[in-house]
Amino acid sequence: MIRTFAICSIMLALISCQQEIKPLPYIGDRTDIDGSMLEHDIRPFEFVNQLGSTIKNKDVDGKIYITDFFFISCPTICPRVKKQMLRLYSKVKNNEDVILLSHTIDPKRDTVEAMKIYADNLGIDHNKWWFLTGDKDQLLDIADDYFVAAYEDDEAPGGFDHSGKIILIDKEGRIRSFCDGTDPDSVDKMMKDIDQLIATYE
Amino acid sequence: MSNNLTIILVFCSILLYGIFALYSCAQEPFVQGKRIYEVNCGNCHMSDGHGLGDMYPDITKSDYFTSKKTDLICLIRHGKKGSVMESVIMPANKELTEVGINNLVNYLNYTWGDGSISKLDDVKTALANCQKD
Ligand code: HEC
Repeated sequence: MIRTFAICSIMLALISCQQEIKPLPYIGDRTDIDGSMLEHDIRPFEFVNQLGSTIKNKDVDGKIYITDFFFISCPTICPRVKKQMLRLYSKVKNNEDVILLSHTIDPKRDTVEAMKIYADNLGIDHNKWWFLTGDKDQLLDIADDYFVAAYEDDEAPGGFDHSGKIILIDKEGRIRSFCDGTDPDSVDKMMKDIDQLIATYE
Repeated sequence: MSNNLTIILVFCSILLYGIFALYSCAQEPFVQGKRIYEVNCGNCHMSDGHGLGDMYPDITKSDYFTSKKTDLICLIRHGKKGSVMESVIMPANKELTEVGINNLVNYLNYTWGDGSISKLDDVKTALANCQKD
């Protein structure tokens, strides 16, 4: 009997054997500026959130943030991604160092007022999760910096084609992880990455 | 000692067999309907039917699957304007066949409704009488 238990425990231990935790990678190409290698970062931007406040890079400086691209009238994957963003929101709700940003790629229809109604109906805290709108070219361009495909396409449902990626950015504005926002398992992994990233600042 | 081991082994086998049997027999009915749901509905109402905030309604307790079944067929075909905001609508599904709608309705009734079975003729009659706006 005792032997059976011993064998069982050894096997269990083997199965659950923890992998060594590697630091999160920096995603994107480094650039060589005057001999010092700089990590890929996010270009300067200026958008407006659902409360009508201007949001620039400096407003996310020193914050970990989680971001995605969507548009309100999107008939395809966006609501699924938002559901996963809501899960992430619930996770980090009480952590002051983490915020969420959702960029629209359809600023013509997704005005500040529309974004406010949308956010209200998700039931979220307007100071914790910003819904950003603004100049369309700027919004589509910055998607490139986050390695998100987003472009206008009359053939696509709703008029835009884009990926359902969710991206994790560290306090220095560098991309550290991303996941598929339509896949809850992929988002589970992102949750671990968020914990790991938070821990590096403690 | 060896006696105990035998008991454990026998117990494990029964357990494994049970799990295996469960997996192979419990095939869900209305697989076609489920597939249509995932493609045409699940993005907004989610696979579990719970929707998203107050934006896309939770349909798991919807009376469209109990007392408003005829309306359900028209809702699927013709969609509905959103009441929360203009750009959030329930889209029409012009490309679904009558058989497809019937499969979908059966899946919905089975999963969240009263479990009643819809017949192709019910779908045809309902579609012929939809109020278009
Ligand atoms: C693009 C998003 C979207 C998709 C896709 C979608 N719906 Fe809807 N659905 C909505 C919205 C929004 C409403 C609420 C309309 C309103 O404001 O009355 C709704 C309402 C409903 C309701 C009524 C809920 C109630 O009890 O009042 C049912 C039932 C429903 N949808 C079923 C479906 C089915 C079945 C499909 C697939 C054929 C589907 N929906 C696809 C967005 C969607």
